[in-house]
Amino acid sequence: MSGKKEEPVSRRSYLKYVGAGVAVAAVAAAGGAYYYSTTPPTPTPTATAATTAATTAATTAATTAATTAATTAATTAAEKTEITFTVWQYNVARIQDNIQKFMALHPNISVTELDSPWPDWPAVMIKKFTSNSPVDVTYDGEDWLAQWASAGWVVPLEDYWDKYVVDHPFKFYVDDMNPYAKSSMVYNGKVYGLPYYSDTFTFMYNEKMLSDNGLEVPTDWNEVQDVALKLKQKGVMPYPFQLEFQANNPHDFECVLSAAYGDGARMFDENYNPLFNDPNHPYYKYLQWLVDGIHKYKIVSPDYLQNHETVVAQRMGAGTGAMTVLAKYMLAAMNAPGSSALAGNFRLAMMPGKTHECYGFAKMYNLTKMAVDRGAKATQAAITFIEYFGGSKSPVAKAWAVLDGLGFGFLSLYDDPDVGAAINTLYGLGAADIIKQQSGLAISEGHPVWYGQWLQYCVSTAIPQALSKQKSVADALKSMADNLAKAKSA
Amino acid sequence: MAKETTAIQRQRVGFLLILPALILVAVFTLYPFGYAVYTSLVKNVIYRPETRGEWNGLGNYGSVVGSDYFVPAVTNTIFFSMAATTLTIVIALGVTELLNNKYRGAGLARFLVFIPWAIPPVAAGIIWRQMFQDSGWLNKILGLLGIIHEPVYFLAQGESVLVLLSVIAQVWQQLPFCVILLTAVYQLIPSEVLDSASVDGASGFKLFRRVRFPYLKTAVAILLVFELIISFNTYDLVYTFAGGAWGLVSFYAFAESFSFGNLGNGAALAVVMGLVALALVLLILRFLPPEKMYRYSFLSED
Repeated sequence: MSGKKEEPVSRRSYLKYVGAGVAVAAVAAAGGAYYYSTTPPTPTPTATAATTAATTAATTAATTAATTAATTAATTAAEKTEITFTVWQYNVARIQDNIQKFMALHPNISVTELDSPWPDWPAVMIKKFTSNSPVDVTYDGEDWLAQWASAGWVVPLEDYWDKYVVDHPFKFYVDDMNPYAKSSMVYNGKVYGLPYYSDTFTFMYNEKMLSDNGLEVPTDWNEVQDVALKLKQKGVMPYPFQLEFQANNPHDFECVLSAAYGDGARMFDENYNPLFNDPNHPYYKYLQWLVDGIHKYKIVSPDYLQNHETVVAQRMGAGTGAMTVLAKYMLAAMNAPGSSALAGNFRLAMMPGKTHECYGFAKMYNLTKMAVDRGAKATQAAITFIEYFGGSKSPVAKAWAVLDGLGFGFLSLYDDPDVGAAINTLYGLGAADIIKQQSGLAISEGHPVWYGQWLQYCVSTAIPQALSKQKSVADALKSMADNLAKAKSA
Repeated sequence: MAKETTAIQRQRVGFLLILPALILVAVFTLYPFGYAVYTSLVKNVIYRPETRGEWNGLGNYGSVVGSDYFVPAVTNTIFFSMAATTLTIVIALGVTELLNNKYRGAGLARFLVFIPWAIPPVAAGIIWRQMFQDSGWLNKILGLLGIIHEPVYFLAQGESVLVLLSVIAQVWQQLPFCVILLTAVYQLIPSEVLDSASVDGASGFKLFRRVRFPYLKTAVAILLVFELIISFNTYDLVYTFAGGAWGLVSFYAFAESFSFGNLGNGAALAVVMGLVALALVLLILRFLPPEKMYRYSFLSED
C-alpha cells in the first residue's frame, strides 16, 4: 500500500467522515420515521380561538350561502368546488359509485375519495390532520370522536348545518336518530355527524342446531350455559359458545360489554367513575361466566385470544359453534348464500339477561375544521355531500342497508318496506322485528377522550389476564379501575 | 510545507465530495430526529390543543416509564432481541458450514435458504401466524405424527408466548442475510490454512472452532450488533404475527402516538429507541472502525 500518500484524500479521513455519517443516519432513522408521521401542525388555535374562528366562518358562510346556491347552477366546470372525502376500505367500489351519482346531481362539486385500510384508520387520520393534508368530509367513529373534536379537527355539524342550503333542517335528522346512534355522535352535548351506519352487538345462534337437539333459545346467561353444556354432552361440538377476542381490537371489548349490558350493566357513574369492579355488577359476573366457560365447563373455545369476528363466523358456518355475540352485520355474512353449508340457519335473539340491552354504536360523516376554514363555498359543498350520503332520505343510507345489510341510525328506515324486506332476506325471516326491538334497547355510554387508552388496556392486558386465569376476575377488574383513574388524570 | 498545504486541500476536496450526502442526512434524518427530541420535551396531546408546545421537560419520559405498559414492553423487547439475535447467528453459523460443504443439491439448498430474504416482513409474520394457527400446518404435522390428538392453540397463549413464537418468525426472516455475510467471509479463508489444519488432524467442530471461527468472529460480532438493532426496532413482522396485538417497545411507541393520541410520549419512546440504536452503532464501530472495515471488506487484510 505504498501509494497511500498519493491518494487525493486520506482514506482514513474519508472513512472517518463516512463512518460518522453512517452513525448519524442510523440513530436518526427512528426519528425520521417518527417525523414523517407527526410533522408539526401549523400553530393550532386554542379551543376558544377555534370556536371564535369557526363562528366567524359560519357567519360569513351564512351570508354568502344563499348567493352560492343561486349561482351554483350556472357554475362552469372550471369553477367546481373540490372536496376531499376520507374513508376506510369497506366496499370502496360502492362508495365510488355513490360519489359518481352525487357528482352527477351536483356538477359544481368535485369529490376526491381517499381510502385507507380499516386497521390503520386512526393512525392514518392523525397523520393527515397533523400534517394539514386536505380532508373536508371524513368517516369517524364513536371511538375517536372525542379526540378529534377536542383536537379541533372536526366540528359540530349542528353548528353549521342550518346556515347553509340543505334539503332538511338538522333537527329533522336528529329527531329521527336512534337514541344510541345519536349519543355515539355527540360530544360535549353537540351532534357532530350524520350516521354512515349504526349497529349493535347482538346475540346470534344456529336455530336449526338448537331445534334439532330440542333446545330452546336461551334468554339469560345461565340458560346459555345450560344449552351449551347440553350440546357438548350430546357430542354436537366441543365448544358451543364462540367468543370474539383478539386482545387488540375495540370489538373485543364491545362483545364482552354488550353481553353485560344484557343484564343491565352500566360501566360508569355520571362522573365516569368505575362501577364494574363490584362482584355483584353484571360486567363482573359475565367476565366470571366467560372464565368458567373456558376453564370449568369448557364450553367456550380455548383459543379465545385469536378469534377475529370472521374466524367466529367461519366456525359458526362450519358447525363448530352454536352461539355467539358479534356485531349484528356479521349475521348477514353468516347467512349469505354460499358462505357455508349452514348459511341460512343463523338467527338473532334478544341479548340474554334481565334487561336485554346491548351495546350500540355509530360510524358517521364528519365535517372538518379544514373545510370550514376554506370558506363558505367549500363548507356548502361538504354539507351538501354529507346530506346526500348521510341523510335519512338519502339513497346512500338506504343502499347500505338494502345491499350490504349494514345497520342504520335513523328510525324512519325501519318503516321502509325495501329495508324491511332486505333485512328479512339477509338476516333471516322475522329479523326486522328483533333488530328494531334490540336497537331500541341499545346503549352507548359515551366515549370520553381517555376512553381509547383505557379500552386498549382492558383488551390487551386486563381481560386476557382474567380469561387466562393469570389474574382473578376481581384483580383484573381492579386493575381496569386503577387504569381508568390513571387514564382520566393523564 | 507544500506537502501539508496539499494535504489540507485534498481533505477539503474530500469533505466537499461527501457534503451532498451529509446535507441529505441533515435534512432527512438529523432534523427529524432533532424534532423528535423537541417533541419529547414538550406537551403534545392531540386532544389538548391548548397545551400543545408547552415545555414539559422530562415529563413525557416519566409518563411512559410510569405507565402500565413500559415494563412489560421493555422486558418483551429485550427478550425478543436477545433470543432472536442469538438464535439467528448460531443457526446461521451452522447453515453456513453446511452450505459450504460440497454435496449433491448444495445449490438447491442455498436457493431455499435465501428465499425468506425475498419475503417482506409483513408477509413473513402472516405466514408464520398461519403456520401456528389451530388449523395450521404445524398442528397438522403434529397430528399426522400422532404427537397430538387435539389442536394446540399456540396463538392463544398470551403475550409472552406470542413474543417467544415470533422469535421463530424473526429468525426465519433474518437468517439468509446472516448466511450471505458469513458465506462471503467463509470463502476468504485461505484454502492452504484449511488444508494444513486437516493434515494436522483437525476436523468437524474442532476445525470450525480452532480454524474457521477466528476468521469469522469479526463478521459474527458485526452481525450480533446489527441483528440486535434490527430486532430491537422490529415492528411489522411481530405486528402481523401477533395479529395486531402489541407487546414490544415499538408497538408501545406507536400506540402512545396513534391510539392514545399522545405524540409527546410517542416521541419520548422514539428518542429512547434512537439512543439505543446509536449505542449499538457505536458498538459496531468499536468492533470494526471504518478504516478496518475497508481493509477487511476489500483487501482481505484482516
